[in-house]
Amino acid sequence: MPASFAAPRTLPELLTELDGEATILAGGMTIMPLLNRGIGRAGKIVSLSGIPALRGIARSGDSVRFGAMATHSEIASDPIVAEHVPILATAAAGIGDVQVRNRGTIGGVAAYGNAGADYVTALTALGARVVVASRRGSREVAFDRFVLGLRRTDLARDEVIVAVEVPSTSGGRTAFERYFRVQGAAPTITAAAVLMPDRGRLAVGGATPTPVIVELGREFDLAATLDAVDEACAGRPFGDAHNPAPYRRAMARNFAARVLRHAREEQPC
Amino acid sequence: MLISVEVNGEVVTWDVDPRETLIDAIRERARLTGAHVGCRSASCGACTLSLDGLTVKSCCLLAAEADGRTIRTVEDGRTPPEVDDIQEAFIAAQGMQCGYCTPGMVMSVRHLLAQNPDPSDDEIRRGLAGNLCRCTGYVNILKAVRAVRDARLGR
Amino acid sequence: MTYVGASIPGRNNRRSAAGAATYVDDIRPDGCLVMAVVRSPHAHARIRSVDTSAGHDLDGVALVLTGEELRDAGIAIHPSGTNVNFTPRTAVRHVLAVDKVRYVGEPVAAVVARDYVTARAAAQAVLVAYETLPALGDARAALKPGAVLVEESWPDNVMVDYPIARGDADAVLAATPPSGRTSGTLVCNRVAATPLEGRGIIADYNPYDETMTCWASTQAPHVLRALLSAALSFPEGNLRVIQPQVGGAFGGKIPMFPEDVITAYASRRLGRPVKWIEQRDEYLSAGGHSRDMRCDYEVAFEPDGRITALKAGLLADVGAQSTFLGWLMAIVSAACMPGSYVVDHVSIRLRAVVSNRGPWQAYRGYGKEVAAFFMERILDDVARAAGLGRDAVRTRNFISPSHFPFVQPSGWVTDSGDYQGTLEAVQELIGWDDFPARQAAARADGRYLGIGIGHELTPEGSSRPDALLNGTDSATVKMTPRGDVTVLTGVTSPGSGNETGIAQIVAECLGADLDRVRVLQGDTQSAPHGNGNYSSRSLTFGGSSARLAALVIREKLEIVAGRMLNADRADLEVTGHRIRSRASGQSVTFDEVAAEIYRKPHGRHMAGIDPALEATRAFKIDNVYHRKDEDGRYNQYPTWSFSTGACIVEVTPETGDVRIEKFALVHDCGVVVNPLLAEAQLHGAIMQGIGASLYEEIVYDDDAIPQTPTLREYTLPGIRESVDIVLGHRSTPSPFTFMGMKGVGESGISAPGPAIASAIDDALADFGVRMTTMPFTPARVWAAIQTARSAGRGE
Repeated sequence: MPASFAAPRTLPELLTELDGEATILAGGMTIMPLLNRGIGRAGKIVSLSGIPALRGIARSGDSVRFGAMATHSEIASDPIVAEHVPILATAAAGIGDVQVRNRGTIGGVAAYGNAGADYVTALTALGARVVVASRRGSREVAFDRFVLGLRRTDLARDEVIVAVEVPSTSGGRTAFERYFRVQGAAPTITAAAVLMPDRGRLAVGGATPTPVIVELGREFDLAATLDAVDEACAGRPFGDAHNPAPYRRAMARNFAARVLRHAREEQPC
Repeated sequence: MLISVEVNGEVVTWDVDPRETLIDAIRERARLTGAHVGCRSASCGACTLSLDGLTVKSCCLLAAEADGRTIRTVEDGRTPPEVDDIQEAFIAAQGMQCGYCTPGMVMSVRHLLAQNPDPSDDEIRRGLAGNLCRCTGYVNILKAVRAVRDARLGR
Repeated sequence: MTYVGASIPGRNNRRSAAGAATYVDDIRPDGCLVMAVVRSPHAHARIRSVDTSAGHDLDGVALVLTGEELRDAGIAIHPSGTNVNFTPRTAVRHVLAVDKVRYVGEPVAAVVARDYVTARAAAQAVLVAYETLPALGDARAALKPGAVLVEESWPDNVMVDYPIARGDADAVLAATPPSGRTSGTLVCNRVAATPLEGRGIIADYNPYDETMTCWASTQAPHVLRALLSAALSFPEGNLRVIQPQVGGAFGGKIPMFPEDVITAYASRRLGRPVKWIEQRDEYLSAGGHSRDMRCDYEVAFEPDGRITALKAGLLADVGAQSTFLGWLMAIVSAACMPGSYVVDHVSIRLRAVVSNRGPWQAYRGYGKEVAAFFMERILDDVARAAGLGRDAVRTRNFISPSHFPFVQPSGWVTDSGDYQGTLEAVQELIGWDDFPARQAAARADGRYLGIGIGHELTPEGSSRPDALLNGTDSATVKMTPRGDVTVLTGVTSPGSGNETGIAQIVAECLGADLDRVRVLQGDTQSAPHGNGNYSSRSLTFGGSSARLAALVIREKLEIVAGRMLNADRADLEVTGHRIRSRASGQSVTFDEVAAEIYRKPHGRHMAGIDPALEATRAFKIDNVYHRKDEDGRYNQYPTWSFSTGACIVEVTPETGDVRIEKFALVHDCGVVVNPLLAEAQLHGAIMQGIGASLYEEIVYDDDAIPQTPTLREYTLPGIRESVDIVLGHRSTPSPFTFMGMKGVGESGISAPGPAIASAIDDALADFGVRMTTMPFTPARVWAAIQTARSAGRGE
């Protein structure tokens, strides 16, 4: 198949390109290294970088709407994010390095759903929704249902993430923790806690193929919560060469405790 | 496919392969070989360029994506052997050995100091986290950045 | 003017900082094609067929090469490496696999095309049918009875079985009560040198005059020329190898690689220049690894800490074999034990075993870092078992300065040293004596600080018999008619700065102005024969040979100047490019003397003088012994640098995270020519040592499939991991080199492993943790704590 490159300017133009064969290029921080190694299909490449409608961060009712192409740098420094979903800014600021944050996008990270990825954990705790479009129409999926398994998401080959909507955490207490072995490696564990007046959620990523979720009431028992994390990790172990599963499981518990402690200490924002 | 980019102030048109990365285009077409390829996985930063004012790892960017955009490289229109104060500081502090990472490192320092003229050691480390060096242990790189920071601030 | 001892920034810094340095990939001869290599995705498989048609058919593809073609063309490598002390099993190596592949990444076919994108696409289109074979994931699997054979002509997978013995270790161990013995297992991780610039070569064959020019990112152009000439049956005199600027090497670019041969062959077939530039994933699977050794030891010791017997079984997983000679590092590890320590009864048995991991290639340390890790961990174990201080046990066992030259059990001869001197100096530098109080205060705060030491012996100037990497090098010094000095050396600089150091030495010895001394390296057409850069030899060998050549020029300048000034040579003072008569106060410049020699060869000052202002001299180092049958000893390392490192770490027990607060190293490399550059080398070596101790490991699974294919998994330390490094120098001059220089470059890479391990043990003493496997990742440290806890030790 001869290689081709398309950079549509509008969403409708984009959707006409998405024939199920196209490789979608957002920031490229995940797929370009693979394509450079000859892994994956590089026949028809459709870049999202020329579509203004996929950019931007804006209030949308009680939520913040992130265009799929919002970069980590933009999210880390955006005043709306700082006010309404500060842990997403924290998560964004910790990803990779300056150059990677200048290119990497929220939509790109969401599309892969990698275990432990900063946003994957944060968006899970935040109860985010993913807006997905294709020629067949568009749909919204709760983020915790969107990530299906290890590097597997509910995104068909002809679909694209258009936006991510994140409920504001104003009035709540939130915290995010990232634990990494060395600069340049994927984080070992990420943990996010969102404690709202009426609900709460803990998400821990990196010890399981998809984040561990523990729903929290107004009051919760810390020990029981941590036991729940531990049990979930035991049931769905995930590990790699440098961070085997038992270690990740123990760290999941550790960082769950830390993130909950930090969230409790937060002033409601 | 034809693309048009502004490189160090000059607009050029290239007929690139859709699979061609920006680093390859810059090196092979513009013959600007200051930026290097070290990993092609956005890890080492030897290929760091500035794209529309932001540093990027050009090994993980398609050339086609740079269409209509502005690129600055370490050479950046200087007349040889002219270098800037950052490069002078690297030279004096022996902030390099093999030199392979140096142009990318210099690009990151330029951006770091433009955004934050008085970075702490920790901020320098965060600002240069995307640029690996295998020779120096970073000791003299840190010295060089501190030196140029202090000189610019008249300290 | 005193140049030796001056801190002068590297001469290549400006072009490097400007982005104007020329590396091999920056060179693009007219009509240059690009080569990509098809590599095995399997660890062990038979090649059933190679279908190149789809690759051939792509637009822009010039050539597809297979192993069969190269074999039929008579291209095969016969690796050597035989030594007087052992004979390795060997086999013919094909630069492109024939019949079977032995490791993931082994070259199987090669595609030459008009550009990189096309070559990669065509490489992907080459279809290779494999029949997979059971793979050996590591050396222990390879040793099992009935294990599949990597080399089918061998009876088993053992490549080298090398015993070293002195005294009777078994008898002493048997006679020692249990309280005077300890034992354990240590594991050194597989790592890769990983210079930021990968390997690469351009070959440009000229069919009209049957010459070939190669530009290669190599450490040894003359050696590469000789090896390529042999591999291709191509006249050595028609082959020119040029080393452009090299983006780091660290041993990883000592020739020769299969790709060098394939590229040169392709250029000769096509009559066009062909370029091969290695990609990082190729490097990490097929560029060569090092270390990957384990040590099962038993020691006996006296109550005062004196070690009376050492028995060690070393197992090296040298991977599948290629054209690389990296497996020789395992020999160095064994031969450098016990190293800095006197042990009367020693029994070491090294088995170097082939597996389906990748081959070894030289890396900074060259096996000495493995020996240092094993020995220093053993010393710490003795200290623990004997209830003595870690420093005291070292002091008790060090070879004392009066015992040099000291013959190691391996027969290698250690030239000189004052190990207690560096130990005490580093203790001072790190604040050893004050630390316990700080540690106790931190512990009361719930923080776990630890301090550790690691001593390293870094024999340098490797000189193997019957090899081109031997104990000699040459240099030419010449002066132009207008008085400028050019130095051509057989040694090269991959970024280490010896071009600057050699200029300093020549300027000093000649009495020249440093700015008028140019050093040229890395071109077989202009430089005299030399062995290049390895084993921290470039300044000692290149500097010493350049000095000898410079002295010839100086003598001639002095004779002619003496006549011009009507002065005795003894009356002359030579400095700053000028020769002055002390008696008369009159002087002539080098420029004037050079003009006299070049322009008035028949003039009155030139009677009886050969007008050549050009001299080539070779330096052959002493303390190398290659005639074991005659004098009973074998030694390949003439000078033995050493250092002691110490560090303070903080460990977080909940995560196993280790943070180095400070790393101090006191180094002894004799006389330092350029402290700025020497310290820069040490910084880099220490950081690489730290990298291998905490962050870096080439990992294979049980089926020998690499788990660390990119820099996202093979994680090099970045600036966020950089540490506060403090250096100290001592000088025990070598009796065998100019001014007593010893090698610097490798030094500093060995001490971090044992020092960090020692510091982690110290920080976690409450738990009774002992770190025995590198790298000390958070997961390993955490697991060690859990193991100690469940064993009932500690809290």
